[in-house]
Amino acid sequence: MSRTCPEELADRLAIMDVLNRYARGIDRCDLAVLREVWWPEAVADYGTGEVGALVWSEGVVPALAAMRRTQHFLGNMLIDIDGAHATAETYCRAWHEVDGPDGPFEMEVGGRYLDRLERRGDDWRLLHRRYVLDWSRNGPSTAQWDGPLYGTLTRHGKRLPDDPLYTGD
Amino acid sequence: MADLDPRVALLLDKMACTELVHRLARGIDRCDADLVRAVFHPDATDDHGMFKGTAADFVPWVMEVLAGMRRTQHVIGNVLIEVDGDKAQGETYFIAHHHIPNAEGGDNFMVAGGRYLDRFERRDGTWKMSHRHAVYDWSTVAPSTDMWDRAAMPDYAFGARGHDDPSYIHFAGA
Repeated sequence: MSRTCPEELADRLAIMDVLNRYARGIDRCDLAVLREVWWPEAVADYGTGEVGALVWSEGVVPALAAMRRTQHFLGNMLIDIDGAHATAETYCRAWHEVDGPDGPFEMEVGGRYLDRLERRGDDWRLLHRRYVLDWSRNGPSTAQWDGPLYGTLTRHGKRLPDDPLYTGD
Repeated sequence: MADLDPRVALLLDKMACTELVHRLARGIDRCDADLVRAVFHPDATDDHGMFKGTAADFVPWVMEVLAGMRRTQHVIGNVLIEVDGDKAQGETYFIAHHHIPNAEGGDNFMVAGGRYLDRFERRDGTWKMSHRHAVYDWSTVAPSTDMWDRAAMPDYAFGARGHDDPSYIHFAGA
């Protein structure tokens, strides 16, 4: 891993923003946000082979929208920058709640994104993403959204266009 | 570096310390003793509660602990760094996930939340960790519900220990 020089600070922060915007696009089912994180020829491999990332994005949004809710929680980001190219590893704890035959079901996945990014002009975007699976946890949802404590937490995350991110509520 | 805007210099120092935290997590999760060792100064110390001693002795100790587990992932969250010249203090939140073989022949999934209270030092222009202090805040343990039959899913990339993990080829190509 290389040490950041002052000139690379803006690059590093821009790369972190791209990685975080991916999670926003996914969790808010916001295809416009998701499309903007990839270069047009970007390739993604989530385990079922390499596909065009923009085509993949168009398919994943309705799949995510069919789930009750998701949260892609990004942690550790190790980023190597070499001029206009960067290599990154990002930890992710992805939480999904889906409708199961016996009610809401939770699927949690710990994994990592192995990315290559490129700067064109001032814009950093993903060129290649490979997803690595580390662990998973599955079980009936134990979510409680009512009662004296949880019932007061009334501002729930939603998808485009209903999330507070868009409505300001 | 003396002519840097002090705010930029502070940002670079904080970033260097944060990267050490992330590299240490990678070294632990990949069971890579060299990666772990490289994060510490030669005279650094570690306090994990059940281990207190030098970082040099921490490395073989933690590798043995990890060998008793099937896999781990140390997800790093909040990183708060205070820089004071060539020294820095960090408080880093972590959620550590562990698959650990249990007596029934399966795995337990142990998740621990805690904080690393780290000390960093810059020597000869390079930041490294001089002390790591692990604090445990909460944990949950339950039989693993991981349902992936890894051997039967050859197209998927799974995390591994050591240089079999896809991250090594990934960074080597950088």
